[in-house]
Amino acid sequence: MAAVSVSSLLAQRGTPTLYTTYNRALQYLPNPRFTISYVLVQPKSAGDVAEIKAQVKAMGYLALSKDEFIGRTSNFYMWETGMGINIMVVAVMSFIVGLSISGQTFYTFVLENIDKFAALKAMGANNRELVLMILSQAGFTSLIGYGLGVGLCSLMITVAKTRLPSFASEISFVNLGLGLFMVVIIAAVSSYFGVRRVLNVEPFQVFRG
Amino acid sequence: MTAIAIQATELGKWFGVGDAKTVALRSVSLEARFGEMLYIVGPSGSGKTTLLSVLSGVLRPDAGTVSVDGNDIWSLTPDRLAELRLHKIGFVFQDFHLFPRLTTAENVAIPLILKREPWDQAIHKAHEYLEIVGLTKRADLPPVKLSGGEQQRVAIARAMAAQPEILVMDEPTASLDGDTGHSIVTFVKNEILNEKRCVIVVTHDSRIYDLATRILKMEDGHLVSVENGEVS
Repeated sequence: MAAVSVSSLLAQRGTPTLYTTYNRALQYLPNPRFTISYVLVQPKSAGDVAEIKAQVKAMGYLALSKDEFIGRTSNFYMWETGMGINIMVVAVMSFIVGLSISGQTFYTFVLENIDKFAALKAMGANNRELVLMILSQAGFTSLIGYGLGVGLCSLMITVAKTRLPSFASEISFVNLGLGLFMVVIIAAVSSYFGVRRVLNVEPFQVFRG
Repeated sequence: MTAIAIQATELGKWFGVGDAKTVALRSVSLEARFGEMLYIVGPSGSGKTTLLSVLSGVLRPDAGTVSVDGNDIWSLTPDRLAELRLHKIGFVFQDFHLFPRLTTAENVAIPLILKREPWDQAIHKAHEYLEIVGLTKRADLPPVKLSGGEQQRVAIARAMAAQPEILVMDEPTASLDGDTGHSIVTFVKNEILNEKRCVIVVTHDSRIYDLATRILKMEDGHLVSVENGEVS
């Protein structure tokens, strides 16, 4: 086993990292017991990983693979620094604000055109056709909004990465799917009130002038 | 005598309950025949628009029946009633109710689209109806670019596009000047009315009374007299 780096928590904040063998590292750090956060190890063979893990565990420490280490670090920032909760609060608030604005806007659109819906009803459009009309309008506008939103986010990330090389952000397919799901929820709730209003409109009111 | 297009028997309609109850129709019976231009006239609040709404299947009466082709339309399910309106009844509204974001031709094509005709075919037919009402050159304009008389003619073309047997017109001259209003109704009488079609007009515009085949007069929800025919 050869140690390829010795790091500390400070290393993550820009302190130079020394790459060396494990034995030399012990010479440079005579008392590593309370100064090293982790030791980065590259096994000579992938088959040794399980054995290394077992040996490290026997010494009372924890050995993690690269993915496990990333996950553990990510979880730390997510759940133990308050950052994750803050992000979730912002996301929930954005969702609620988006829902309110789009719902109100769409309902206002329906109210402004209620005489048109009444006229269509009088002319012979049935409820199913009117509901489909509203849902297609809501779906179409939502997808336009979703596309614009994803496009703007991508543009912002791209611009940020050109200005800040270490800027860490990405849009994953999971994020895209989650965003689409939320947009669909917003569209469904927004159109629900419009649909209810249109279903209750009396075609008779078109004669009221 | 021509066949009956629409027959109403003992129609009653009221709004509200208790002290707030307003009776709009009281035992109204009538029949309209094919080839007839039937006017329903009377002062504001006499119930003529309510009667037209009940006759055309958009407002359910509280009493009585309305028959089209011998079938009571108010015994139909809402979807079947909508289908009947689509195929049998054409509407010309007082405020036209044209769709401002659509072109004139697209407005006329609406009933055809509702009848599931392909878009291109519907637009083609819409142009034919616009030709009948003399608005071929306006086909690609939005309704707001048209005069009031032109908009009314678009509304008539739209009502006719589905080839209805019964055409109902609610105050067709209310938004038009006297000459334009008279020419519009004259056009309907000369070009639209025929032995297979019945036109029912609600109006209080006495300047177009001369064009009626028969005039029914209403007061306080009653049918009080029939002109140009038997008097009740």
